[in-house]
Amino acid sequence: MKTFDSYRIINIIFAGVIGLVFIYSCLFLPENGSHLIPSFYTDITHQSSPSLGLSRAFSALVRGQFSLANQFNPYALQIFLFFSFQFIYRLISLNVDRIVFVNRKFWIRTDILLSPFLFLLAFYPLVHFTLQTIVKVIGSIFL
Amino acid sequence: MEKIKTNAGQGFGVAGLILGILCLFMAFIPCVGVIAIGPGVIAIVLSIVGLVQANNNNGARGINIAALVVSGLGTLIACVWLFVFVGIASLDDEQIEGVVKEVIEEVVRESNSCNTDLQDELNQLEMQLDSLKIDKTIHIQADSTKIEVHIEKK
Repeated sequence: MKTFDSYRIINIIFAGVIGLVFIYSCLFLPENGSHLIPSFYTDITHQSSPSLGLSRAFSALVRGQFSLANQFNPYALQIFLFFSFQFIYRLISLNVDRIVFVNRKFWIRTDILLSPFLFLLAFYPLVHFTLQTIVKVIGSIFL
Repeated sequence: MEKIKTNAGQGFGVAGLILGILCLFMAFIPCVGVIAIGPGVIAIVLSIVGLVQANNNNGARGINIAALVVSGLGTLIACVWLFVFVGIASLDDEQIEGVVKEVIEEVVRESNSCNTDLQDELNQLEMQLDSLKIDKTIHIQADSTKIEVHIEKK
């Protein structure tokens, strides 16, 4: 019971956070570019990164403008699908004890295995870029 | 005699785990990676407090250890981003451009195999660039349009 209570709290908070991400995307029009979160990477390096335009792409995706979203960020759709899946999974997990045919422990273990796997799948270009940049910059400083 | 497990440190563990996961997410987004240090440090503090409480009062330590590992990893990556930015500050513009272009090209090349639309667009663009000729007249030929621009010296 103890584990489930923690799990329920975690699900409520993550569903809330993802919900806030969707509300944030709805509040701003994709064309305006007036989103509140800046790209620190671009501000500092004056170069683009794979996460540039993600907020605008999300704003386009919540409005169903898929081609516009693809123009803003080619990786936005897979990341958006990951967030959507997580949002639905969190909502279902809140009522997991009511689902008769699902064992609670099995559900939590599946979540622990599935979520990191899907994260790596959706965020692969960003993870790859992060690791590559770190290696290159450190290499150019020390070698 | 077996001691009864308590809820000690569990609240801190849950808070640490949530902040740690958020920190790890943010750390892998280059645009905002560096600001993941904030939630990461708070998550580490919360999970250490939770772990100490769990140890002292025979609480469950699993969630605190998980929180500590996740937040530690997230904070480490965020710190490396900070280090990267400091490192970039010591490079000149040409070096920055070289490093970033090289990495972006590699990422695009690898992700192109999954993104056929982007690959098609790039191929089309390449074909259009090939059809662009410049002598005294600039000829641009697309599928349905042909443009000729004559250049004259005054």
